[in-house]
Amino acid sequence: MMHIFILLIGLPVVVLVGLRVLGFTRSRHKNFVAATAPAGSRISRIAECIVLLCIAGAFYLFTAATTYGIPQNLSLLPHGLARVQIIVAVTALLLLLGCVAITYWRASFGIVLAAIVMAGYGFIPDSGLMERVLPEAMFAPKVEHTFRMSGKFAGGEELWINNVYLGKMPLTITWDEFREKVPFMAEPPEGYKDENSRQPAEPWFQFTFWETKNLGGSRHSYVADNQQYYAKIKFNDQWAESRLGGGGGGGGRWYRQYEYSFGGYFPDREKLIQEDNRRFESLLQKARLSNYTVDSEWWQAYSTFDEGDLWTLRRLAKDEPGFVKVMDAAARLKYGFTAVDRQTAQAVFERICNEADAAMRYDAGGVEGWEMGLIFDMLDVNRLVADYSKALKSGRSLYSSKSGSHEYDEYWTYNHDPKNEFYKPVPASVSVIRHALHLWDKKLDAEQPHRDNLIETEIAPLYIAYRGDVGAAASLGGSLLEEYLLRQFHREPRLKGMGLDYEDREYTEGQYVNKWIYHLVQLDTPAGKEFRQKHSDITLQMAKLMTTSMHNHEKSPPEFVFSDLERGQKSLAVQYWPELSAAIDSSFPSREESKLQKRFQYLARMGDLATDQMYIDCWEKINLDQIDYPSQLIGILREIPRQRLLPLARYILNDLNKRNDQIRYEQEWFIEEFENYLICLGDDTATTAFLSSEPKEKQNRLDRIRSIIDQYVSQRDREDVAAYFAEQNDADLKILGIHYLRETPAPERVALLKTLAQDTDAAVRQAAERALNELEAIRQIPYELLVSLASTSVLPQ
Amino acid sequence: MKMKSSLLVFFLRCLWPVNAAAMSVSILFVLLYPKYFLWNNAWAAVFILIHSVAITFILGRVRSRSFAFIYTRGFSRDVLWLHKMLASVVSVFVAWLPAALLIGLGGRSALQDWFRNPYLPIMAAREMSAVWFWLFGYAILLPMFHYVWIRKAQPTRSSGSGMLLSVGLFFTPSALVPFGNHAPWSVMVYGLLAAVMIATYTISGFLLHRTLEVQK
Amino acid sequence: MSDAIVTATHLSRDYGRFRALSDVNLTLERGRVIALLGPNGAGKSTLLHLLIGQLEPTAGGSHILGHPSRRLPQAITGRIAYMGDGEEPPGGYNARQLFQLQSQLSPFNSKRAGDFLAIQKLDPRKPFGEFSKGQKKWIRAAMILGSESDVIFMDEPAEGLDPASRIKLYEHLRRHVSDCDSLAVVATHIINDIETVADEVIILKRGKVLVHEDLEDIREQVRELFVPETERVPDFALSAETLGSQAVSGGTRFWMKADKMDTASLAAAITVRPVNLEAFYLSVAEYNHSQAHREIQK
Repeated sequence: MMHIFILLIGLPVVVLVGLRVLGFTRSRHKNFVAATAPAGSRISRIAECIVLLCIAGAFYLFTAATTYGIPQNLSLLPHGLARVQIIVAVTALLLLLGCVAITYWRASFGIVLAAIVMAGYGFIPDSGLMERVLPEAMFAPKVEHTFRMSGKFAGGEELWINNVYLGKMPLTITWDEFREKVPFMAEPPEGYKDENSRQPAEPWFQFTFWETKNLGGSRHSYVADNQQYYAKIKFNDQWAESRLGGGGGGGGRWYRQYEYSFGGYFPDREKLIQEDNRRFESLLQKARLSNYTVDSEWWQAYSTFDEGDLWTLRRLAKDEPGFVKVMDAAARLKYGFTAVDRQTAQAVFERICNEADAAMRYDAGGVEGWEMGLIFDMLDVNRLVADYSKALKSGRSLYSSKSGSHEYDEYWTYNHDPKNEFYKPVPASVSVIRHALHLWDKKLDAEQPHRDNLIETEIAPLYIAYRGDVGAAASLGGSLLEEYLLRQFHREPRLKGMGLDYEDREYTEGQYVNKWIYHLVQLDTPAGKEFRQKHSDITLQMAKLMTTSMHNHEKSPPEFVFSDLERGQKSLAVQYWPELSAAIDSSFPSREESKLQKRFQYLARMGDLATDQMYIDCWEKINLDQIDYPSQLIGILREIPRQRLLPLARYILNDLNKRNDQIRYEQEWFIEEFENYLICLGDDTATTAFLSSEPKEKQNRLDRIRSIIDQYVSQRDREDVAAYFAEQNDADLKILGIHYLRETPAPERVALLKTLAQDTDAAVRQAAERALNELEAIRQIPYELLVSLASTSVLPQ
Repeated sequence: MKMKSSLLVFFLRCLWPVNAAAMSVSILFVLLYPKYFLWNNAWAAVFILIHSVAITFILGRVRSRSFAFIYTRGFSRDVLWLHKMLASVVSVFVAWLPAALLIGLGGRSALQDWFRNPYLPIMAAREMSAVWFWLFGYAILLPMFHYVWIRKAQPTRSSGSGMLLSVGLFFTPSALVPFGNHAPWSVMVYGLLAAVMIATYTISGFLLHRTLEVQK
Repeated sequence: MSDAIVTATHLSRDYGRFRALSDVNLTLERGRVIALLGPNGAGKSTLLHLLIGQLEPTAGGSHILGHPSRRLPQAITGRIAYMGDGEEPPGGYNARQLFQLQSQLSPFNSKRAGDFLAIQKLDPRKPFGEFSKGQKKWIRAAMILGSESDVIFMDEPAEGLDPASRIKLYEHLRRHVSDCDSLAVVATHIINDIETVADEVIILKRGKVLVHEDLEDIREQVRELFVPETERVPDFALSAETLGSQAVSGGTRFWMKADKMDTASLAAAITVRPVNLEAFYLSVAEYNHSQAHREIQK
């Protein structure tokens, strides 16, 4: 619209004015004033100079600040180009000032000249004119390569590439420096090739170096090309068996950064790592032994470990809910209080905000985030809403970047670093407030799910109005937001495609879909539910789009498919099941285990709506000869809830016996391995059969049972396994059970150990007592012997 | 300097057809515009531009019979200028105030909500900032165009420079606005430059008004 | 103390390359009615606009009541009344509103204005635009005559008025000048009417002041000489002292100062009579001596 306006109105005005000024049209004014009258009065000259300075100044500042110029971007440019930009900018400024001076004597001429100068200055950087005139080298981006070792206690390793020592890692080097030091080798160096293997001889390994060069054509493009290099790594006079673990790169027009992460095995270091891991595990054991009640000493020792953060505790808490107590304790210890009241909560909140502002980041998944979970409901929600509203309306970025995993999508880490940011973000304390509001919203929704809360009425609309962030608003919900989405849907009901306007599109799974439908189907509210029911066809189409896109056909169906299971056969999950099943067949044409896994995952999410028969039907579709190893099968069955697993596993075992001719490799071993798995599930028949096997075979199977438990049974379920084993009239099984009870000695497991310490079988008693003694020894270990080796002087430098 | 009500009324009577049209258009526009208002709404910009040009053109017709009349009634140039500016301000409010009230008090939102407009009432909070920006647009354009007409009536040879600058002012934001990549300090700087411009145009317009020539 | 309230010093004005007014010097005093005469394009309107400060002089300057015309403060502008040829109130106003407008500037005698208006029996509530040309002039004149101004400038105030109205207008103007001790400068082409009230005469031609004299002095000093065709033109009539001459039906008229005439030698058919202002004007501004001389010699 603006462009049409400029063309239809602005251009004719410019032409007319220009003709008038240049004298091509008659001017009554010229015949009215005396021929000897001055060109302009002093007042008008001064005024027009000032105004010209303002207008041209605005244009100049904008150009200088945004198109490779001063003062924003100079630090990013190559040195020579930065110098040229400064010269151009200063020249333009001097010319502009000259034009202003000319305006004082010849107003029209000066103004037109100033327009030409500003247009030229604005035109030069963007047009690529500079790149056509200046040397190519000036436009090459600065490229840095960083090499580092991954894993615990990494650092200080010597990096050798093509037999040249580059330095100790982590090492950052520019492309030019690298080329200067390291000669390119067309052929591998001596000693690289292994006569007996296609792999390089130890400790050599090969890696790809990302070179950056101008490909020509579009002169702005610098793209990567590959070259191969031969590397080896030494630490403490030991050459490591190493490989390139990973890497990545990124950057912009003027700066590129590439990272190379190496993995390596150093025997000495490995011992230290094992000792460190043992200490960490012992620390966790101490927590378990104290019924997950920890003190500041424990927390201090825990914090010395790299993995000693809240994320580790979160993962542990999935299987051991007792670790939630540890997280609570960690939070309270850090912020120094035992009980929470409004005053304390406010003080803690302010402290968290101040610390976040100072660190310019807020980790919603860290201790501070956990602490927020403990105090948020004692904070004044009205004040939080007011503060956050202000931030939303401020126009500043809500953060500079965020990182995290979708598994914990509420627990992002928000960075508020203004360095190199064009838009200075709000302070990190705003992320703290947002987190608090998010928690409040969940609480209020749980208390009154059918009523809008303050956050939904005040914050959700602001997300839409000031940020255009439908996703953030939808995460809060509210009737205003729901009405908004529904109306937008009525305005634009098309499901997908490039025909959708920009504002109606959401990019997901490699394609553009209708943004409004996308959010409506995912609304976890009564309105969302109603929409899904009323427009079940669109909902299912959206589910299909989100599941089977051209980029990722392995994605699981979205959660909203399972949001109305209470409707039974009319639910979306049931309606979608046939279509998904067909899609699975076409997506994985030759991967039987993937097909089965996807199906079982889906049925598991259907909960009680999925009948045993449905599971069986899935199993019967499978081509057994495509499954080579029982571990593949057992791994798939992990997806199923334990309480549904046993009947199915029994059926599968029967079926394996019937169809054993379809098992490609070692049918007996395959079936026996599955029977071992059934034992882990608590199947009495399989257990009885096991117990009656020959001792040698029994011992062999016992090892495999242990292996199955280690790989495929979750920590949470191991207690059931151990309890089941403890009931059996077999010492070996009981001893195996003791091993798992000792592994995670929560109070109830310790109780069971104590019971087993009274067992009639001596071996069982001994094993139980040994386990209890070991646990007691762990309980007695002083904390100074349980800190990470990284915090001691043990590690070599 | 006391206000001369009949002089103010004189200027307002000259402007009443334009103001009546502007008020009607602005009310209808605000009530019926289907999308939400942002500060850079092109239709509003066109309206403000046309209204500003109309106001200043009518008040700047010093060669017309009626203006020759009022300029020779015995009012000093400063009094005439002041009342012209007052009349301009009143004209702006005649068009802007109903629109602002309709938006600020929720009338527009309520009507559009009744039409089941998806953008309202959810975007209503945002629209008020656009309303203030429209006022800012008037604040820049009116002194500038007043200056243009006053400059044209000066007893000096060159009269087109004011118009050239107004064209430059029109093109500069038209070129800058589409670019979203403005530095965070730019709002303050542009605001400061605009304030300097407004002050310059106003003061110079006031001073030059004393020397403009009136003759049919 | 000098009663000069309007002065002009070397006042000049160009329009483009055309010089409309050239080196005008004037001193005008209170209590006088000044008739400003001149042919079309002589610069009368320009002079008035320069004096009231609506135009910028190319050279020189003027003062009103001691202040430069181009920088008159409100206290002074309110004491100046102007009725111009190129200006007119908007049609939607009525006389009452116009009087109210005028009264906001300076003391305004509404009764005097209303009485003047009533002479023509004009309705003060009727919109201005609905009146005839002459009636509009009358209303505008009422605005001027109602104001208690020190200086009045009028440009063709009587144009469009009938003879009786013109006389009444000038009578009231004269009364205003006497009552308020003001100065009135009236530019007009209808000379006979202004002659009844004027004290001074300024005649402009091609931007220059040809004459600036008291009317009484002109009447005393200037005579008209009529020479029939049948008679020989006296030598004194052909001299450079003659102000002007005009060939008419039956003879030629000559105007000159009385003291330049040799009436003793005149033939009986040649008549000498007092000159009226119109004739004087014509002699000076329209029928110069050299033009008539060529015609006679034909």
